[in-house]
Amino acid sequence: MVEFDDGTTQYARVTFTNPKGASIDYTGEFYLASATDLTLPVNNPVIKSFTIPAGGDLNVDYAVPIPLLAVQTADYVACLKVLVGGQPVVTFFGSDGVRVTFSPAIGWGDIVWNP
Amino acid sequence: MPVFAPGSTQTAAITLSNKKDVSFNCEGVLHMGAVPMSQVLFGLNAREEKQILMPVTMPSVPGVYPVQVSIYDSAIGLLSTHQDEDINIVPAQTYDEILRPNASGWYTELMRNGGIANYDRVNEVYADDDASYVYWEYDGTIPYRYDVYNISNHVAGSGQINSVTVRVRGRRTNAYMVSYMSALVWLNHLFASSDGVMPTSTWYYNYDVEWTINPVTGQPWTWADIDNLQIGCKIWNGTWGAGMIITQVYAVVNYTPQ
Repeated sequence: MVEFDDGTTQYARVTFTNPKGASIDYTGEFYLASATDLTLPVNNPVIKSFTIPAGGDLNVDYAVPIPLLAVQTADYVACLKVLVGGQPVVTFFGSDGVRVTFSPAIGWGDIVWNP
Repeated sequence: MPVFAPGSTQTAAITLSNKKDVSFNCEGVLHMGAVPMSQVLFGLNAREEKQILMPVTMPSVPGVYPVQVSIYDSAIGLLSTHQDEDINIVPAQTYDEILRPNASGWYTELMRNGGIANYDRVNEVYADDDASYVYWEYDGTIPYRYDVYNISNHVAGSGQINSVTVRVRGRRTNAYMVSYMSALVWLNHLFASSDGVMPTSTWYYNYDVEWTINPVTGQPWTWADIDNLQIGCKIWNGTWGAGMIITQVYAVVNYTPQ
């Protein structure tokens, strides 16, 4: 299980392979979801559209916003929904979970009076 | 521990850093004890460091106050709370600077007993009463006359001027006739007069007139006002035989250093 601080942006690289004999236009939606409902994103899905030639591979990088937490830790599943022609063709679920840990959002300096 | 005067206005500068990769729409609230004393709205971009300024009018009641600042996001709610050093509110120490006549001013209408100028008849540190004074007795013309004197510039004073008090010490020359004396301030060809007062019998009377704001400008006193100020007195005699002696005039500037 990978661990990230809440409210940060982490980068996920996904390698897509086009097994068909023709070039295909894909759309990949990357999101995090709770294990109790894998269809409900807990962050804004990151959507990327790309084309893979027949039989080719393509690395696609996703900048994934990790949610802000009000609790100390939360576990999520990384989900990747793949669409072709606007129709979902497959959804992958990461086998490794994503553990998000709370960290303070604000760093403080001391108060300076009448600077 | 910072020490401030009750009711004074201070500014808290706080440097915040956003540790996240998201932006916040923030409201900062500064509490002293349980009371919110200052609120400010600001944006904080991802990973941004920013100084926010929070003006605070200090409590009027002396004491030690814990200071806490909370940052809220408009969507998320409370983001963070910071406890800072306590603040001690203590009554402000005030000081007086006495400024005495050192030259003639714009009006010299009164008579004097000896000396070389009217101002040197009234500028002694300890009142010498009948030894040196200015005076005027009714002469059948207009019933009032003025003297104003230049005063020395301020030396020790600084900060906020709380008041200017003009002391006029005088007495009537005839216990049976009506005479009044007033205190004057003159600034840039305009002057203001206090109410008149009639000393009892022919005994000397100290008439102290306090102006908490400049009566000429209607604004709080400034040190430039003080350095350009002339002070003096007015004598009003009602009838023949009425007369007034003024032996001492000076100004007391009360101030709070900052």
